[in-house]
Amino acid sequence: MTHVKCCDLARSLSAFVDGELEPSQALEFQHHVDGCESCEARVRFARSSRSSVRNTVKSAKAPETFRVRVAAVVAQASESEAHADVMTSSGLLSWRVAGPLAAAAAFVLVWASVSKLQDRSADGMAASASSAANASIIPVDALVDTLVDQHANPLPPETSSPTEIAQFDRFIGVPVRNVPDRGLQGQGQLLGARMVPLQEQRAAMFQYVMGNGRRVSVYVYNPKKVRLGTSPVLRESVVRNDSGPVYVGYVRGYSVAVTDRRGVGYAMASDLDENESSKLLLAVGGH
Amino acid sequence: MPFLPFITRRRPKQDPFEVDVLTHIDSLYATALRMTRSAVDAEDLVQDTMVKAVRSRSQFEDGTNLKAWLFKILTNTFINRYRRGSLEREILSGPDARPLSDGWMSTASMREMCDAESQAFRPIIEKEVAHALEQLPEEFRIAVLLSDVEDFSYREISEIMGCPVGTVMSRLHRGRRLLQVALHDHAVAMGILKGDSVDEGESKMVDLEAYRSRKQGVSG
Repeated sequence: MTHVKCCDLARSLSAFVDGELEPSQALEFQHHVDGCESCEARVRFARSSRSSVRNTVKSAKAPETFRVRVAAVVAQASESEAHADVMTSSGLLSWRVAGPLAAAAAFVLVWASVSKLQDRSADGMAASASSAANASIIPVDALVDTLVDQHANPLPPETSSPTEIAQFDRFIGVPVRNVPDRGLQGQGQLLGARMVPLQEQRAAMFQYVMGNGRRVSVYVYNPKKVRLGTSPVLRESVVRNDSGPVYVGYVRGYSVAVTDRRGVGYAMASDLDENESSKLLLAVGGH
Repeated sequence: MPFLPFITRRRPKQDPFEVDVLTHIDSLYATALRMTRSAVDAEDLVQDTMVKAVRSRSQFEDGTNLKAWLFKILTNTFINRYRRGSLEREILSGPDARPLSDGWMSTASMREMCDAESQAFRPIIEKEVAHALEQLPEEFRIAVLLSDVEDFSYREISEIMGCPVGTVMSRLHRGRRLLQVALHDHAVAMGILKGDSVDEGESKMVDLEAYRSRKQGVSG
């Protein structure tokens, strides 16, 4: 019944191994392969080649930090698609401000997406590697951890223009426009600013890079609504006699400092040590 | 979701399309890594792909294969941005041109390279696979990745790469053959294989093939 020759198989080897032949033809080929040693070796070789490529490539997994970042960026893209029209067409906001706002709202999604991934891994779809990484996501103190996470996996700044930063004021409820002018005692370079969600509120996030490449993120918020100083993971530290308390601590290797100045809340997550960061924070607060 | 309750409250319904897109991150990343040969470029490529997917979601037809659609965006983005101009004919006419016909390797050598248990190449050879893969010309490499790793059908690959099914088959055939030649050479270098000698008749075929592709190169 079968008329398959070795040369027929050689010609259609890929299609046979890839399962692209008609079932009846595939059967005839299989029949030939079963009785032909050299074709059997050829097929096995082609299958081995296929699985080796597959094993090699599939062994690479997206890094956890990248996963978190992409979830945020995708959420942001999706959100700005959905809401940009409403916000801009109603004349409430300019395009440039709508971006950061949508981004701020979208940041919330990072967590939702990550926990969604966790749900899936719990179903047994993902390997133990991702669940080990998930452990670092569970916050000791949700609010401080959010700050640190935003610093560790920063979204790109939305603007560095002083006039656009000045527009942040009314969304945050405290003045943030002077923050860029005060600088980091002349040490850091401002990359830009964006709005980020903090609890039910918003904060302005200023991203700086120091001369030595270390990064500093400064958050400005309304301390009446966001109470960072009471966080159990931070402790009180008096930097100068006249400057009042600064709350400091380390979270996941990053230093965090929090203080209030004249009714404005300032927080900092950075690659610096506690002492440096609390001094800088006071400079930002205008002391 | 036991923690961060305030977040769940704020956004009770997560966009299912977004969630579906994100589940393909590992597949996209693994392929992007071999396309770009760089972890940094792979991250950029996957991020761009996913953002494009979410922004142009209206173009996605519900009920069709989301993964194939994502890989199409990935492939187009890669080709537009990272293509370094290595076309198929370059490698075929270059100094490394090797026999692409069947029968260049003996049955015994083929058996030697395979590992009975894992149904793959012997571990010592398999370590070289990533390297060999990255040396393939882009069009061959993409075809091999889409077929071997993601199990896309020829029709789906032709959709993704924007070329006829016949071209897909030829790219797959040539890509795999080049890969196997590289791995064969590695096995010989490792002392696993004695090394097959290519007979006269086949050498002539190689020259002819190289000559043809050189002609194509000139006229194209």
